[in-house]
Amino acid sequence: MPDRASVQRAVALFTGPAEYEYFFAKLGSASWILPLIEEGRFASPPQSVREGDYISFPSWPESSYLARFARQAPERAALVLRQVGETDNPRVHLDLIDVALQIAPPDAAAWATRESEWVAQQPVLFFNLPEKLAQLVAFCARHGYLEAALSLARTLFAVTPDVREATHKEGDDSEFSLPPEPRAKCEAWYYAKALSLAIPALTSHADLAALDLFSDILAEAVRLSRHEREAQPPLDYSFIWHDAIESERTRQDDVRDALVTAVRDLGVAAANLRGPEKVVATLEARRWDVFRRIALHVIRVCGSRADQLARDRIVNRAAFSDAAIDHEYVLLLRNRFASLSSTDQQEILGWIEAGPDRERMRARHFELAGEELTPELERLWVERWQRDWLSPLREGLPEGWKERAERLATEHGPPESSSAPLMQFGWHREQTPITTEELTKLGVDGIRRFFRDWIPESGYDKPSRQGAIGSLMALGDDYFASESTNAEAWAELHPAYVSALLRGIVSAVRAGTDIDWGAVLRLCERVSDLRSHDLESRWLRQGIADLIVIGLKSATHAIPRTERERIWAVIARLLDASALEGVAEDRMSPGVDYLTAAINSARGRAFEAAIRYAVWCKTLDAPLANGEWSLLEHLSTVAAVLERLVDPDCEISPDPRSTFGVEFGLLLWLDKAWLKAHLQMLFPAGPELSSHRDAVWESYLFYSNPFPDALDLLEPEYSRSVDELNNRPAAPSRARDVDRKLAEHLMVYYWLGRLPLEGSQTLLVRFFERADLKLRSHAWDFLGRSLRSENAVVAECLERLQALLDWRLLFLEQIAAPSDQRIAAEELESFGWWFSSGKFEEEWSLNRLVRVLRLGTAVEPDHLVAERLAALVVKYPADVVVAIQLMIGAAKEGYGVAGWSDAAEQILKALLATRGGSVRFQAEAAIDTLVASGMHRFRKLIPKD
Amino acid sequence: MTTPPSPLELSRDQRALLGLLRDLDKRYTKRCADMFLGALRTLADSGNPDRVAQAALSMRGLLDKLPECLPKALVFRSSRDAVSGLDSIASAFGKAQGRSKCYDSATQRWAGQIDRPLQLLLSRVAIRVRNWNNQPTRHDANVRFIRNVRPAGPISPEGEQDFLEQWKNLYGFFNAALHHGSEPTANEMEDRLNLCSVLLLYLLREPAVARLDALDQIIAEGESDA
Repeated sequence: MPDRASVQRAVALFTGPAEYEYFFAKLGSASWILPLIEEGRFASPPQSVREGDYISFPSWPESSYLARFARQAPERAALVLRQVGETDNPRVHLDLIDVALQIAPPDAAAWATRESEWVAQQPVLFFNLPEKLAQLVAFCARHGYLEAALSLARTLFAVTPDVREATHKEGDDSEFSLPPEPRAKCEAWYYAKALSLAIPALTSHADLAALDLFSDILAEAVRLSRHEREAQPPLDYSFIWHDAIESERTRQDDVRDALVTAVRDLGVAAANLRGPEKVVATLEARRWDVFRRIALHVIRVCGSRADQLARDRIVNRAAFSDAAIDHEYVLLLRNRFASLSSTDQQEILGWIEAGPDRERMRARHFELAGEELTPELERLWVERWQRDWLSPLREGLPEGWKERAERLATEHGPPESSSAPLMQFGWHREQTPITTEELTKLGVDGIRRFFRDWIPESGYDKPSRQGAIGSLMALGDDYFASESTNAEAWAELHPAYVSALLRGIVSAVRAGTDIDWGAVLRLCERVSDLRSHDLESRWLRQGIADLIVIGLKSATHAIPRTERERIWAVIARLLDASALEGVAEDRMSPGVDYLTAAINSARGRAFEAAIRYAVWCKTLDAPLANGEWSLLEHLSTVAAVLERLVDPDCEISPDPRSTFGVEFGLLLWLDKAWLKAHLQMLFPAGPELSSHRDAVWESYLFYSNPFPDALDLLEPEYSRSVDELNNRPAAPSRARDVDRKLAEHLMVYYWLGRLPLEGSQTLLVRFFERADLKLRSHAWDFLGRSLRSENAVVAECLERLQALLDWRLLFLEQIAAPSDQRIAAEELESFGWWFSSGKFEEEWSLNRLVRVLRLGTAVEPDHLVAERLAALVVKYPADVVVAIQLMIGAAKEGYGVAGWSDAAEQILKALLATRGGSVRFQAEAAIDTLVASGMHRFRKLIPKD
Repeated sequence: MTTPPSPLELSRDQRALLGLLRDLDKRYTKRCADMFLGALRTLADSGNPDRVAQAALSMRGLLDKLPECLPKALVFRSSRDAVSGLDSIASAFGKAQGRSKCYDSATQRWAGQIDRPLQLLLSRVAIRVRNWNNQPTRHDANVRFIRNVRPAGPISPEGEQDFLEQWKNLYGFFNAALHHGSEPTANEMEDRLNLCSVLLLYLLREPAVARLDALDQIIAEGESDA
């Protein structure tokens, strides 16, 4: 048997966590509990550790051991629980709850009481503590220790105010016009899970104390879900957040949902065992609607034992017309109507006969529809309302009423709800005046006639134009391709239908279907000068531009060259008609980037159409021009228009200009001389035009490749951007992304040999001087990933990349202070991509890997580095052993090796097999480091001398 | 005014080795830890133009002193013997004994045509040379140290040869560097210093595996009749 001396001998061997954790993890019997108690090992559990904004929860090997063996020695385990010191560490609490679940119920109840005091002080319960605590609640309850169970449940399931509510002011229209959300000590999902574990055990007692407790918690949750000024019963909108008490569905984000189910189950259980009267009184005492609904549910499931309770609540005019409880009311009514006295039945039928509150109905209709309710519509609605009330009662209805219910159902269709009449008005789908099948039957001419003649009625519940378009679009690509022949006939239709037709034709072109471009362009020509700025006209212009862009880009179904003049005429009209966009309409949103705003506007799309048109023309003309093609000479009209578009003094909105950035490569191909002559306009100087410049530049960086020829023109812009890296306040995320793209462009140009490294103030040197650590890291990461993804890289490029790395490595190695050096060297963390790419000579790669690691940084992705080291270990054991020692040193206490432990094992095995030199000893030292940091799997590698 | 050297940041292994050297220092009243720390600090001082040689001096001193860190350290032939010329006298004396007709190898006595004072001198020199020849070498001291100091037990014979070879190479490297006989770069010096640290850790540190084995043993004993 182990004794205190055994424990002391073991403890003497602890030099760090590895041995400490190993010892307790390896203990294989409960016989150690007493000597461990004697040695005081259970006296002082570790506390949570706070460092700055972070908190960590160290594990306690002693408690983990005890949790494993408490079942073997429950008395000794209970002894530990009685003696163990206090801690705020949730990991320890998890273990000790596990212990409590394995010991005698009285001892577990004592621990539950102690836990409840700790839980009460915790604002948040980490890990799976809610679940474990709920198990302890259930354990205590099942063994009859209800007081301890409820004491723990009270603190575990307590709800607190939404912290954001404290900042809410009366009349505040900000975020907190939304109601607050009561908070629990854990996420709602875990809360619901914990309740589902605790409640069944509590229901088995059917004790009113449990019902009382959870009713209190639910009432508090309901109160906390209302703004303070309105936190008065009964209205709680529970019919919205928990529409059916009998439902087992619970939302994952609302603790009230799970509490309703808990109170319901406790209520039903208590009512079954102790009678419904006390339960209903307990529930209704809370006064919130949700408790009345639960009470109605309890009464219903209690059947004949609650007849009087049911009758009192059914034959109640206020309850009958109370929409807040109507789901449960109707279910109860349906369940009991047949058993009511004839007098009671007649009273209820009288309410149905009288119909809904007419004045309220009329007022509501006017409020929503903006017009008076017609008598005919009023009669219709009253009859539907009566149908909905009578339908659930049908089986118990007296003669005469039964026939009436059937007649109403025949005339108005089945009721809208099986349980309750719907009196609420809400959102509904767009209604169509005609189905797709009905359209098909009309034939192509009939379809056009229908859309020409049909006039939507006003009213929220009437078929709409958008509903009709839904039916039209469902006709499919073949219809639109075929109808393209008749496109001109659509010119007289509403712009919304023309937009729909063009969308359908775009879809058909994309699907590779032939269309009649001549007819379609004639339609576009006729409708493109609509100058209206209403939404539908703007959509139409955007649709025309989309269609032209698609037609000009399509390789197989392009617009025929014979339509050249007409296309330009349409584009020119679109540009003309959309000239005031950006002034007449607000941007989509201030946070939207330039290009997103552009591609969602007719003008932006028209810009693209104009550029695409010029490119298309050059494609047609260039073969005839003997390479002498120029925009001014061959497309002078287009050139004049483009000149206006690039001119920031002419173009009011910066957004459409982003198209020039995206299509910079096309413009370069189109006419480099023209582009060069207009650079000043594309990138105007001065802060007042900065958004006009940024629109082009940012879109270029984001969406255009860094074409080699572009650098000649854009070097001043690159230079300006590099100089601005350090000259602006904290960059918003968008600017951060722009900087990353800038870094990528520069790296590509360097890769291609277009940017020099030599020289004190070259673009690259300045970039590395001004870029912050994250941006420099991104540059290396981009190069590394590109190296790895490229199939082959020419030797010249590799040499350039090697020179870049060596230049930077030398700079970093010369930083004197180790801490500064280590931080700066993090920029090379992604050297792992370079190394694992396999593109460089092996010796160079290994040497630079070691040098990078010596700077004190880790390398990523470490698992790929390790795989490559494993491939090189036999050939270069002396280099590999140094590299792996450094990688292990850079990894955090062994955990960093977990991701590449298989490769590490393979490498270390090979190193141990190396004869001569120092490699074997270095490998053994590396293994020892791993084992000492808790990676016990490497223990088996150590050779037995 | 010179810039103060940057604070030294020790790696996990360097910290471990420093702790082990301090233990040895306490037991044997040496200053091994100071020498190791001095080498690290000197090498890290980029403002010191002779830092490589000075670090090498500390490291060679460390390798000199370590073999003395045993309960019964050997007093081996020191470099002072070479400086005093005793080694060359011993060599010449040995040759004279082999070649002179006045030396009887059977009786190991000087006799014949020499007078008494010369005979006494030669006899005393003979004793001194014999003692010197029997004195252990640095290699002997290294072997003894390596075989006895390692908590994990002796290295296998094959491994021991490799280890001694590495020790000798490092000693030679540091010795040449400190005399400016070679001019290694700071990086090369750092490489060797790191290698030396790893080898010393291998030698001096009780392996974690051994401690785990010991814990296994304690658990097995405790639970044998549990």
